[in-house]
Amino acid sequence: MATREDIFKIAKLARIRIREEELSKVEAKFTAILESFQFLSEAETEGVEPMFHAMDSLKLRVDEPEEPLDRGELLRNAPDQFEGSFRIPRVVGSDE
Amino acid sequence: MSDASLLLNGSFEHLRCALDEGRVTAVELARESLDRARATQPELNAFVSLSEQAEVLRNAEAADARLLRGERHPVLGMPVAVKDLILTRGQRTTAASRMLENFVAPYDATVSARLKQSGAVIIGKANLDEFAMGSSNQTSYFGPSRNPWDSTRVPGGSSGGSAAAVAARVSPLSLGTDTGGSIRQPASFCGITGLKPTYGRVSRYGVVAFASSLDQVGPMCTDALGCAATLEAISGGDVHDATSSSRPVPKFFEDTIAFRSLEKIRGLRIGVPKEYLGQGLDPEVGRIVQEALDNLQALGAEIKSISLPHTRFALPVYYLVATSEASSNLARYDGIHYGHRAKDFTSGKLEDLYALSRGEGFGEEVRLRILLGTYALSSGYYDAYYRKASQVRALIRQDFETAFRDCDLIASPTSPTTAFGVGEKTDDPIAMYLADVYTLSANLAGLPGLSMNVGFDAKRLPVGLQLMAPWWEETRLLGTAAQYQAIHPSTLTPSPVALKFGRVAQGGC
Repeated sequence: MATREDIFKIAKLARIRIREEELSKVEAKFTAILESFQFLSEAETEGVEPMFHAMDSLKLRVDEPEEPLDRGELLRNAPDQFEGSFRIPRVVGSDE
Repeated sequence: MSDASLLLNGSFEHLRCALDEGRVTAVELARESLDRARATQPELNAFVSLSEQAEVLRNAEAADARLLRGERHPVLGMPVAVKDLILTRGQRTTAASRMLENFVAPYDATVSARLKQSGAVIIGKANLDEFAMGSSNQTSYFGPSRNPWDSTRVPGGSSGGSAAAVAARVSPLSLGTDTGGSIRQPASFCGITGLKPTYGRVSRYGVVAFASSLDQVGPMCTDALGCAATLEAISGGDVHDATSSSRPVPKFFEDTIAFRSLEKIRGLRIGVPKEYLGQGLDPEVGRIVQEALDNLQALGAEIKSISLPHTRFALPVYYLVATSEASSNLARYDGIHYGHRAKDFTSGKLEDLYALSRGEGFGEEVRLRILLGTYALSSGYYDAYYRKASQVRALIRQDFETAFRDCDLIASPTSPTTAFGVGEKTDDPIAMYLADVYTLSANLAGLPGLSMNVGFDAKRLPVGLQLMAPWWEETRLLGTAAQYQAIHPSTLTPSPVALKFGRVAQGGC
């Protein structure tokens, strides 16, 4: 069963900051849900092919260039931008 | 009272005739629809945003011009509310999340584009549970929507605003999405008709993804004919969605009318899974659903008990599959390209920017589900959770394949209870998840499912009957519902909020 350390680890994997004061609540719900799902292990599944999708086959479109969406319009939704690009914190050449 | 107001309280068919015969214009309807949307908003909170009046009227005028030229399409000139999970170009599309609070859609979802091409008039963006994750509309960042039958109660979810808008007769039609019951359960709670199409029938392009192997857009309407009309408008293959099917789209509207005229309920074999009538089902809901089955029998259907033996596993299977897919789909919200970016971000590290933006931008239920999905997919747990769930999913589909060898439809309650109170179940995720216990399996199997009102409990809250059909047999669902509704018009009674706007228009075409 998931421990508090597990939850920290998962939150890190999922890139979600959980505030200290929320942790007990998240842990309680998370554990209760997982516990309520435990009986799934009773299902007899030996040799059963997993079903990952509801379609048997996918139909891919022809790989031809199309008119892309307008750059300016797309950038309108960016939280921060600079000269037609997304602006992010420095990731190279920083102190660490 | 104007004709438009009377008509909005009547049937879809009546409204369609009135538009085609020029007794009402699309502009009149659109005006009335927007007026109602504004008038009901304080009580119902059914919308996250309304379309700009000038644009709505322009689109309605264009529809009127097409009608005048003699053009005909089942949704031409009809006001429609679109779940705010579906992109509508130039309009805000929020998924009811702080994450997308200010996101303006740079393009139309295929379903939005198709509605517009068919001449439907989008009047606003309907409220929902955040990222469609919920069964009561209470996880919306913009506050819960409320039920037009009793505004102290939830409209269901996640397409709660879409259901409330139709039940209040703000618009005759709306679009919802259904990942585990998000069209059918709110349709049931709000006393309307809602259809989740076969997986692949409708393109998902431009619809904010929750769980890609389960999500499907579908119509919600006062009645089955409206659902047929809307489904016809939005269905069909799409080069932008590799999971959309290119099989031909039936004339759902005409075919549904034909099914009704030919009284094709006669001879249908309707299976009732015994696993859907057990513990947890409210006895009053059970009784009303049984009456509906008796009514179907009186119309010539053969009702038989069947078994779907893996039903008890559907809930964990669904939540493991849905959260796993969601954890991957929602990875795109990074605080960089679009969406919320944390402001008090001081460490200067990119990692922290992601984690803070996502921690702030996502609400509690969304965070919880991302964590569950990340866990189910993570090294060491994948086999026991995600893979195991996907194997049982195959068995659930197999149950349906077997059942449909001996029956044409499967019937059950849509939800174990009628609408519950706002504020209830919000701290007990498992109790909340049970509201979808009868609807989840259709998504897991990719089957079409419909919910229609079949009566009211002692509190005068609507009770829904769910019908499921074999893959691609939506017409059978819509036709059965249409014939039932023609014979039992009391199931189409408008809600008290709708009746505040006036009486019901009588008569057909």
